[in-house]
Amino acid sequence: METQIFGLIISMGLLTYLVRLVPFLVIKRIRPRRIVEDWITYVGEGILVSLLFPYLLLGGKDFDVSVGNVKILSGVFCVVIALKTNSVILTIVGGIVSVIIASRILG
Amino acid sequence: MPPFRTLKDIKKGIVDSLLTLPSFSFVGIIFGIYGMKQGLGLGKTVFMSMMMFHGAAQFVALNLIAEDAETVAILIAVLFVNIRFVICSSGLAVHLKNLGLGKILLISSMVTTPTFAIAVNRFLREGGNWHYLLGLHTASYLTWIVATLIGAIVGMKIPLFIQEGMRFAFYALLIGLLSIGFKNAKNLVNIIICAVVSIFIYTFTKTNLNIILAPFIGATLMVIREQWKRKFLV
Repeated sequence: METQIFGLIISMGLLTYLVRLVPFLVIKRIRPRRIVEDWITYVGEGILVSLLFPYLLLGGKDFDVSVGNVKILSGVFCVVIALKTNSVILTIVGGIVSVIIASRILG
Repeated sequence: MPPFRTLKDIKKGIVDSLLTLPSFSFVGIIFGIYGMKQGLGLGKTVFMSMMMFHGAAQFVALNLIAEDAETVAILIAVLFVNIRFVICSSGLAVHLKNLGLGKILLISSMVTTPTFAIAVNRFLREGGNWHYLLGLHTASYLTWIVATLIGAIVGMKIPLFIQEGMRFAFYALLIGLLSIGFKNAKNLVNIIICAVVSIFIYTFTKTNLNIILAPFIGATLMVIREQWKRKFLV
């Protein structure tokens, strides 16, 4: 298990490195077309979304959109902070604090 | 001894890296705590930061490792989170033509979105500069590693109820990263498509297939929609 995790971390590191390196090597010949750049941007955004929403709405494997769902309440709170402040740091702090408070009150 | 100009450029890069200091140190500390909380251990948590130097990808990977996701799914997810580096690296590379292979291998290893934004802003005014980028990248990288180490060390000493709240940090980070998308109509459409497709796939398959398929479907639909609009509505 230990070796597997180390192997996985090294693979993820190499993969990340390749994504960073390849454009430097090929940029003299080709520049990504606008449509490719758009697709990349949407994919990057999409993966964040597809990690987030199932967790908020289907945490217990079933739909839970009740007022008592601590994750949804804290999620909505985070969206408000993110929209108001544009700050990732404040959103994280707000999320942690709100989930602690909400689970104390509702849990 | 490098010439005076070189040292000055490196120093300028280091000074500019201070702009990334608040976010890199904060998210790095949170990642360190999160790594310990997920049972990765100090060594592997810091090793992950050294190998990847990308907060969002590291959180995604850690989360999927904790969920016992398939290795291939983890790697594709990491690739999808990282893929925007293609834009960052190409954006930097156009300002740094004629670099030797050694310099490319070194400088490309530490590309991030915030440092890319800072560097391009300066390159547009002053022209591309490898030494400046070296200072900026190295200082930001070291900040990230030290912050992860600090987080991993203090992580287990914080009270249990705060540790529980830390589990939500990852999702708050995702929301924070999506904040720009929430405000833009086109991105909002993508967010809605991906959310619906992701929930749909997850509900029916109960697998992590959603995190690969949903972004792929969302992004493809979005570019088709834009191409179609350009063709027929312009």
